[in-house]
Amino acid sequence: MQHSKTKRRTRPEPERTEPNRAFRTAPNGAGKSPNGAATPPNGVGKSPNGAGKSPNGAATPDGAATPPNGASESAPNGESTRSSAFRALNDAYRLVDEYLRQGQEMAENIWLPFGENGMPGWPSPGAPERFMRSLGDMTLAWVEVVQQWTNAQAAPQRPPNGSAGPFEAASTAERKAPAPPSAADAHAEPGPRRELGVSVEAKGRVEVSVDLAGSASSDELEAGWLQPAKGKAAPITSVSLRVDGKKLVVHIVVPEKQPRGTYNGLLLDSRSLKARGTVSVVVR
Amino acid sequence: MSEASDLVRELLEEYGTLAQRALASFLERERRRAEVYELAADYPLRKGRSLRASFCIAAARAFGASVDEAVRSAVSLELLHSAFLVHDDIEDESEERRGLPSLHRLHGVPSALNAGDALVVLGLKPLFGNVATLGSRIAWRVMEEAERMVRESVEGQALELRWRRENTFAVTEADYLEMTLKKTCWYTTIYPCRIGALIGTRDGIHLDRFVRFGFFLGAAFQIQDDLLNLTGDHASYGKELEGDLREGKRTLMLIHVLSQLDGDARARLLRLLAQPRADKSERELAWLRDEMLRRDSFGYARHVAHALAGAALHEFGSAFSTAREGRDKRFIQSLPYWVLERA
Repeated sequence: MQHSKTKRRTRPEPERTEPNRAFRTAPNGAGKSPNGAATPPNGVGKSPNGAGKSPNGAATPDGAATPPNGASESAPNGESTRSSAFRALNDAYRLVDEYLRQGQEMAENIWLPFGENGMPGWPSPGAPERFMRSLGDMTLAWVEVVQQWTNAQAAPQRPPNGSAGPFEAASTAERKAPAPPSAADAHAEPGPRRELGVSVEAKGRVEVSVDLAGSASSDELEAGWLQPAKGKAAPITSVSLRVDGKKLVVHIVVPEKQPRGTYNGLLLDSRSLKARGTVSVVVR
Repeated sequence: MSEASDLVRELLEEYGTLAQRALASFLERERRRAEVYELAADYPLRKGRSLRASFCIAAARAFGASVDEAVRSAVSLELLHSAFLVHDDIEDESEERRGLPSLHRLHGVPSALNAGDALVVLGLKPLFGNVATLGSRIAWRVMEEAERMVRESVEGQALELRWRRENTFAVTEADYLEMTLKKTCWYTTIYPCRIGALIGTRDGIHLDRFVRFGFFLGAAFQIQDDLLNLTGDHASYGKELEGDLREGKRTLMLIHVLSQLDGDARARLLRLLAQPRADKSERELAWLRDEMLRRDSFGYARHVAHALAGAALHEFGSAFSTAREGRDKRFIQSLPYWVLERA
């Protein structure tokens, strides 16, 4: 290695030996009110990935810094109060960097089990988007169910004599008895309330889950086809509702050659055709 | 007081009043239902600053939402905050809250615990109501954020409780900051930013950009709160002074003084920390306070709070770069100043 024969150039001695983070008194005006022209403190936090460094890129203040303002800044063990404080700030930056990094890793890992072959591993391009879309669709359906429920709770109720105003959902204690059904409403009177059950006909292994807000009668619900959550497999079309004693049973027939995967469908309100619940089948 | 702090107080008054009205109206309906809701309504109606609710509304408005679109989430946050406080006060054996006896002192621990549980449930209800103003998708996203916020908060509280239960004294500044990130920052500063931006942009912004700002601001807030517990004015603080010393709470000042003491003095402090709250004598507490003064533990904590507030101010630039210019944005930018100036 060759060395230059000229005199080595050196930086001038710095005026300060540690960063000035007292942002109120910082020379660059960092302490100005936001109503004026506020600027950030003297370089604080410029390096989001600079874990271990002082946030302004200076050497870590551990140990080496000189107490700037005399004895009042110095703790009995010799380390300046400011230096200790800067070390704590460095800790804070390291902590939040690590926290965000872990969050990112968690987000990256969340879709690994949803690889193309159903096994953990690298997913195909587009798999995360599909997963999130599918998840979004499902959660949306669930929220819609909640919305239906809350709307039903909050809906104005007709008083017995038809003269009082609407009742608030929350003040149930004050509610009067519901109005007897009028002739006009008679056709809408639901059948007896029943518990929900599930029956499945399948050759292979399947998992079924059904969610429904509240109980239901057979004449106010209908079941839709179960569509594949991903891919282009044929839907499961044999989904029906039947009464079995005190239960309302969702009956599903899974064809013998139904491809593996998750199939989702909705339980619909017969009159409004709005979603009341969901049916999911996983074919193994 | 600075111009920045004046602006903060002005908006806290304005948005705090709005949120308090909505909260009172919500609780008025609930209180008729059963006695437990009467107890549950106690803390929320004691009229704190409504910092979190105001912050949430301001962040939402800064990103383009209306007050109406944000107020349910703000009310929910105040209710969940009250739930945390009820449970915290029991866990910490705190005697006062907002200038009055704590709920468990008024009604006993079992009833207070149950009222705290009721507040958690009440806190969820306005989030369901969001469906009407924000639509299903955004309402669902706010619920997801709320779930995360509660999870982070209880994890942070668990950390602190474990330190006290096991009388852990080897707690570092980094440990303290991690606990504060989870226990305080998430629900005080990070979550209000995130849901405000979520509502205002209709889920059109990456929310992790608010973690740094919220963390630095919230940590400065917590350290200042810990300082006020030891040095503040009782009338404006609203809680018993020096309660943290009695509880053996691992504050930055305690961590600092622990690192400074050795020999007999350190052994004396460890003995004091190991004692239950009721057994800690006034003489020993006075000694600890004197040691903190002598070792400049308060000065140290103030320096850290200032450094963190400065860092928050810097992070504000990137976190809120796309927010609309105006009073709401200036309010948020002013919070690091206010945090240090509040008494």
